[in-house]
Amino acid sequence: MSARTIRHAKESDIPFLVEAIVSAEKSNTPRMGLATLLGINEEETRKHITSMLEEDVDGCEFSIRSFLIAEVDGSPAGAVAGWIEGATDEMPSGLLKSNLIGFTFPPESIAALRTNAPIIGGLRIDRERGALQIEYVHVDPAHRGKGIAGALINAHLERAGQRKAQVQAFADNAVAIGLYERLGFSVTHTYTSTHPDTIRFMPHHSKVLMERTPTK
Amino acid sequence: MIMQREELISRIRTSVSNVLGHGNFEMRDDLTATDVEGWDSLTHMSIITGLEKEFGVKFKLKEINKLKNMGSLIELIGSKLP
Repeated sequence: MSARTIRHAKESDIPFLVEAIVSAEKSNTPRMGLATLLGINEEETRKHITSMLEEDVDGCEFSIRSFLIAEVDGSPAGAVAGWIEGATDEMPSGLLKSNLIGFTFPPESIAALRTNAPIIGGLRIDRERGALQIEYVHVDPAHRGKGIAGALINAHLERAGQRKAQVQAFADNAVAIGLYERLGFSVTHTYTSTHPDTIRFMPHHSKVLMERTPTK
Repeated sequence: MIMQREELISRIRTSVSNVLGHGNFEMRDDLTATDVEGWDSLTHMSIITGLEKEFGVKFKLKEINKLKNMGSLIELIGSKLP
């Protein structure tokens, strides 16, 4: 039987965290919003994600300390990010992420983002201040079906105590939505981008916001 | 020459308004991005680069990640001017 442990991510996990972010961004499609919106290829995007993680900023989805890692037999098998929205210097995670992208990606990518972002504006979901945010749920393909994602999310929920929790998923990702439902989340809103070009940039034109409010 | 705080505030207001396309906000010290229509993650990048250009300054990532409100932005820019 294999040994499984859950621990906080550390700097040496960055290559695995990059895999987790890329895989979750793509959501089983070839399209990674971060790359398509910024007008660069996947390889370049991986380098920039690495740089963002290396900046060691807390409180958003590009923070090493947001991630919990599941190890199986001593190797990373899954990762999930989770943070309390607005808890770091009272700054919304969206602005922290913006600052990171603005500092890390080249000016021509930022220009591309300014042009492309309005196309997918309908998919932007505001995060609730004070709520636990779950992002970038990833399990290595060799370890799927073993309850690793659920264990990682539960570990974040336990740490957050009686806080409300939010998670987002593309509307066609039935596996993820089913998992979140089993963990007590339910769909509270569906966001749809009506722009016909959305599907050039993103895995799907609809996203769901799922929320979980702990019972006292 | 030391820039007066009033002039500094006025230039910041103009620079931010140019990005947002409106000036429907008061330059209160406790003003935050969420109080201002259209100040979102995308316009935020343009606001920061616009301010760098306007004042000929360069922000560090750690500095802008610690900005709590308009008051701290005014203070940060003021601290970088001669």
